[in-house]
Amino acid sequence: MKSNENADQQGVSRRRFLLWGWGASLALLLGQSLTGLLRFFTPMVEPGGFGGKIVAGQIDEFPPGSITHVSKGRFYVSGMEDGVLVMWHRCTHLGCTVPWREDEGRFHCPCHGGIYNKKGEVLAGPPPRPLDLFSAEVVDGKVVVDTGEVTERRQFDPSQLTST
Amino acid sequence: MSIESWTNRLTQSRLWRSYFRHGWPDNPLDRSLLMTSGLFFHLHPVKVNRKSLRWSYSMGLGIITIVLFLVLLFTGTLLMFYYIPSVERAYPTMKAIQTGIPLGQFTRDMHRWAAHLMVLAVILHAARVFYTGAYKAPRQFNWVIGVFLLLITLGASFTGYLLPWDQLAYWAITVGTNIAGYAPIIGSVLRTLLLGGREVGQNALIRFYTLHIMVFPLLLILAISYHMWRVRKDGGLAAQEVSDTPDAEPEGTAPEADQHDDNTSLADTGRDWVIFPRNPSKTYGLVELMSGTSPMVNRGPENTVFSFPIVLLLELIIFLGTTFLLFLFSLARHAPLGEMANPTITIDPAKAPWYFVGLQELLEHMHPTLAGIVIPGVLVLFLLAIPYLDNSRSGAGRWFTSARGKRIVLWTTLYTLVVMPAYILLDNLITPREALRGVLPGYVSQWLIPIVVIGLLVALPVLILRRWRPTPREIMLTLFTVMFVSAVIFTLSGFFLRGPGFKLYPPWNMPGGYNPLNDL
Repeated sequence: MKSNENADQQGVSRRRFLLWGWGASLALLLGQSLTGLLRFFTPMVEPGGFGGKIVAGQIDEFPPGSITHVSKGRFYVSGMEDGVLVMWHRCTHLGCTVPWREDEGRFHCPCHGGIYNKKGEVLAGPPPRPLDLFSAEVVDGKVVVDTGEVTERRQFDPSQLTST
Repeated sequence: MSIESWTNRLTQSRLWRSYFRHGWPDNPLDRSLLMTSGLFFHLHPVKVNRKSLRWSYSMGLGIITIVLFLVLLFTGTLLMFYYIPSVERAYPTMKAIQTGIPLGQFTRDMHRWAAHLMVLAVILHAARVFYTGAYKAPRQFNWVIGVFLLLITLGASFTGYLLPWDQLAYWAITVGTNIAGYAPIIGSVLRTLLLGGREVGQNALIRFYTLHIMVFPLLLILAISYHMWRVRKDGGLAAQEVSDTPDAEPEGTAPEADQHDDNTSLADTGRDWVIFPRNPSKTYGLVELMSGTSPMVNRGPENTVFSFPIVLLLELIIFLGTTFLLFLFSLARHAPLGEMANPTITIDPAKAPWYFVGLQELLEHMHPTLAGIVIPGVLVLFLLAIPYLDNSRSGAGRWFTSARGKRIVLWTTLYTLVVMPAYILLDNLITPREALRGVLPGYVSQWLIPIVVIGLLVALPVLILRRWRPTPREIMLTLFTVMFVSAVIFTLSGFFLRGPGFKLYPPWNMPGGYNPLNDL
């Protein structure tokens, strides 16, 4: 009884304190291991290939109205009046590769019927947002696309264009 | 020397006797010892209840699943001797297995068919356990393990789907893993973890391979062992909990009547001796050692037979029947192998494996997060919760519990068979997503309308049922039937009626000569 009263006065008994200490250490160890495991399964991107910087071509290869598929970089370059728009060729619905249909004049995904216009905006079908963008810059007249960073967007905006 | 003397010499030998510690199992003692002293035999009880041996009760689906799993382990190991999980070489090795290796095509066919049939057998087994009420106490937790086994089986099958590295595999996995990407918050992390990158490539292939040949089989072996151990610990199959006269309500039965009933059942079985007379007021517990009752409560032990040889014989029959069926399937139809995977060309239509094609159908009608994450999540939670929502013990071990339960299931099935196809067709005819595009914000057509419509369709039979004051079991029967039949309808629609562009077509008039059966 007496030791119990002491425990009440001190708030935490030594036994309880050690127990909590043990528990906290174990939880910390477990958390650390799990974080390490997660990190192990998250690879760094290989340089050079998809995920790095890719040269799409000379800027004047993409005149207004043209659609060019660069399969190495998995993107389309859509030529416009004020520059070019670089869009990932992956459907924002479920990740199928969206083909450009010359006969329809629009992107038409065969998986679930998603349809996009030249600006990548959704005309019909289930995609929840326009085609995703890669950032690009013009260096010495060449369009250099950074495929390491994907930009999601809600609608087309002229600021998304790349020009000289 | 005669054969008999040779057998005698064998069974008298020191080697033989060092392993078998009992005589020939032609008497009760040795039959018991056979079952208790061997590692694999001791998974079986010494005696089993006659009712749990009926085909009409269990349909042997659990054993069929295990047989299919064993076939998968065997054929899968064989395939591993040749298969190389690299994006350059996976497809050529598949071709080599099919054309250059004796019985290679056959091995692959067996593996493919066994995988499809195992998923089917697990689903049917779950339905059987649900409709016979076998999830009820004390078997609640084994049902929970069973739900996890279903998920692990789906995982094992899905990861194997990518390995041929043909167009069919590539696009099915692309679509499937992108659904995971719609999980709120963790979605993109989850997808990256699964694929080891942003698209299905070398990292994804080797990840799926390791999961398929190592992680999921190990999990399956562990979980199946635990599942079977619990079947024993929970007192065997639930079939034996039923009284011998199905019409009599357990509460209303007087002890005398039960005694009488017991005698007639004995007369039926032709047994001339009884160890314990059955008396429902008696509980069989471990006196003094522990409190509480054992799973043997309310059960007379006398309607049992020795497991040897009948159980082993039945298992052998199931084993032979299942492998024979696989044999026929493999001879009748080869596993498909399309063109080599090409990330820049999408096949049309790109469909998920058949057990996920119902989800893909659902995706056509609502926002991907709702169809791919929220609804499947709710369904799994519902499955896990069933034994805890319906916590009565009565009515376990009988199909649909009662005549009324049977009627409820019948009417709910008919209701769902009308309502869900109507929903698919109507929603396809006037797609709210397209009709309201630009008029109302996207979440109205993609979230609000589907939730309200599906919610009403699911709730309606339960609301109607309320007039007859249903038991929790009857509400579960209704909800499970709506879920099960809907899953079947959505799967059939996605599989047979969806053609190029994932548009609805009559199955006999698919454009471009597309045949859904080629994807199996």
